[in-house]
Amino acid sequence: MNQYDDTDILLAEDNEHDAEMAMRAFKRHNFANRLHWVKDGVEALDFILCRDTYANRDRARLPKVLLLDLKMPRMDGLDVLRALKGDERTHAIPVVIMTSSDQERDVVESYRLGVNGYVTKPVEFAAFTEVVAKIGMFWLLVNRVPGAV
Amino acid sequence: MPTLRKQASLVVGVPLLVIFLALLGIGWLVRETESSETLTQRAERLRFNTSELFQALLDAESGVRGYALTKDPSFLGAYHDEVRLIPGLIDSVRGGPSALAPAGRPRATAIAAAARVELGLLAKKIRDVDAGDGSALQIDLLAGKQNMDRIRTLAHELEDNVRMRLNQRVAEYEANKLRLGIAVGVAALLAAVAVFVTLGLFMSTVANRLAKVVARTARIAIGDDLLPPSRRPDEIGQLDRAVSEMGARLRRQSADLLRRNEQLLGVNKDLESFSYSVSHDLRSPVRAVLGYSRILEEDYGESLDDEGRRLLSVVQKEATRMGLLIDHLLELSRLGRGELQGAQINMEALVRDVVRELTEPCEPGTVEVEIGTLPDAYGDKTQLRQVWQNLISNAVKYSNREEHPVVWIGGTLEDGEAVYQVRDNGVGFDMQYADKLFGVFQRLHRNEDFPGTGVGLAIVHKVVSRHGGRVWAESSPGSGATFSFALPAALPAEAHR
Repeated sequence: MNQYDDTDILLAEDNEHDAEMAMRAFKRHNFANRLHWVKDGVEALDFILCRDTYANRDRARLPKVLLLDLKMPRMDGLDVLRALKGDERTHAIPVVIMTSSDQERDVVESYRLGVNGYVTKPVEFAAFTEVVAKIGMFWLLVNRVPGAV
Repeated sequence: MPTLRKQASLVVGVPLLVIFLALLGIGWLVRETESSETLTQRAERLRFNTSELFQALLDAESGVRGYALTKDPSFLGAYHDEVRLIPGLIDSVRGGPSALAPAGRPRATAIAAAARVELGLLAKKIRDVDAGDGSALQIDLLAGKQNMDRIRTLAHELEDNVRMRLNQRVAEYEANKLRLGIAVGVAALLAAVAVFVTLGLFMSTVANRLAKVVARTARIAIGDDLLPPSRRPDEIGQLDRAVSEMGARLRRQSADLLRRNEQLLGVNKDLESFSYSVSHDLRSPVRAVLGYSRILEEDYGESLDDEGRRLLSVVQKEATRMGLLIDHLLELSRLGRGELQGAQINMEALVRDVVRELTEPCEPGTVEVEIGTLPDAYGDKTQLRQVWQNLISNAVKYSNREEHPVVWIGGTLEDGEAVYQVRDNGVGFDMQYADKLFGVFQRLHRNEDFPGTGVGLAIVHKVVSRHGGRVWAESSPGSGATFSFALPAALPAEAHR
């Protein structure tokens, strides 16, 4: 069994501080060991499609939620979203945009592409922690995805 | 330069000329009538002269006859009288018909000759009587009688000649009169036709050319006029060139405007991507500062002394303020762009909603908010909600330290404008700084006294201005402040974009 195979949360975030804070929040709620952090859109797709570094990953095991930042180097969040929702193998993966941007056009475009949730990262740490915890709770404990037992 | 006015004068001039010629014809006819009257008078005089001559000869003859019978010389008195008159009469008879009746001329000459013969005969008769030659007298008397008969016959013939000639001339004149009448009638008809034809041609040309100018203006109206203008030098040509020039200028200007608009759109896009970057990139470090200072506090708070914790709390407070500033700036820039979603707004419901939102977190009874009747207005509900939020939260904030803070909200309808007021009994401000109130980052109070970013009223000003309204404030220190704004009460004729 591959080290990535029990990943439930895939976090795509280029800002290491945001990533660290998010992971700290998940850790506090004991989701941290099921989280994997990728630093841009290309790596996110590599992970899901089992390419490159992730070639040995079990293709059948998909994350229960992808937390996707919008502005990332190489391939941004909207491109990743477009690729995933346009691909029959991956379009069922729940994707939640988690970004600093509260620009209306980003929200509109994300939903047009079929996003499952859109969350603006609060600047205040307490609020940020709370939002991250709620996301983890819902998508990992409450939500049901196809094929899961 | 063949101007329309000259063409128009031609249109009037041609018929006028025709009418003038007709008048000339009538004048000639009148003169003809006059000359024919003179003719009649002269014919009358000739007949009179002829009969005078004949009578004079008769009188002279009867005088001679009396002398022959009586030998009394007193009979010759009448003879001598007449003989003196007769040569003059002879001359006038001979010259009489000259231009009048050329055919009568030989007869007049013959009458004159016969009259002279008669004068000779009369003189000879007197000589015969004086000589006592009876037989010669007999012969001369007979000759005289024959001569007189001849004169009478000639006189009749002359009169006939003249009368015939006269009748002929009158007939000619009548015929001429008819001809001229017809000619004048035809001329008048021609003049009328000329007027109608030239005027009609002129008008239809003018109308056709004007219609072309009208068509050009229609093309200009839809921005599609590329036909070259008329080159004719008259007024319509000038008009067409002027309209064409106007259209060309409009086209240039609208192309200019379009280009400038595109530039502005570009600038706007730059601004938008700028604010997008600000939104995304400026927030992250603030969040990091806040987050890590919180982590520091959570993980190492206990190993810090009081001063260390105070310093950490300053970092957190200022970072929070920075985050707020960024949010408010973004809000301000967002409100300046994009289209207003215009609708008729139930202001009272909106204000009650905002007031409930703002006062719910407060302890009940801390701030008393009175809402009067508020007229409806036309505008963007989301943005106007922001205006109310900022004004009411300001009123609450600045009156909060009073013993009985009261915020009063009211409105009136004035000249199609809805005017709203938010009044508080708080600290107020000095009117000499009133012009700074609505500027970005302009504050009249220290952050320690009343926290704020100095963007709220700038947002109010921006939103109200974009709605075509006005905003103003009145106050004096310690006696509260009244903020007012006016909006169009109904849909404006030209929707704001």
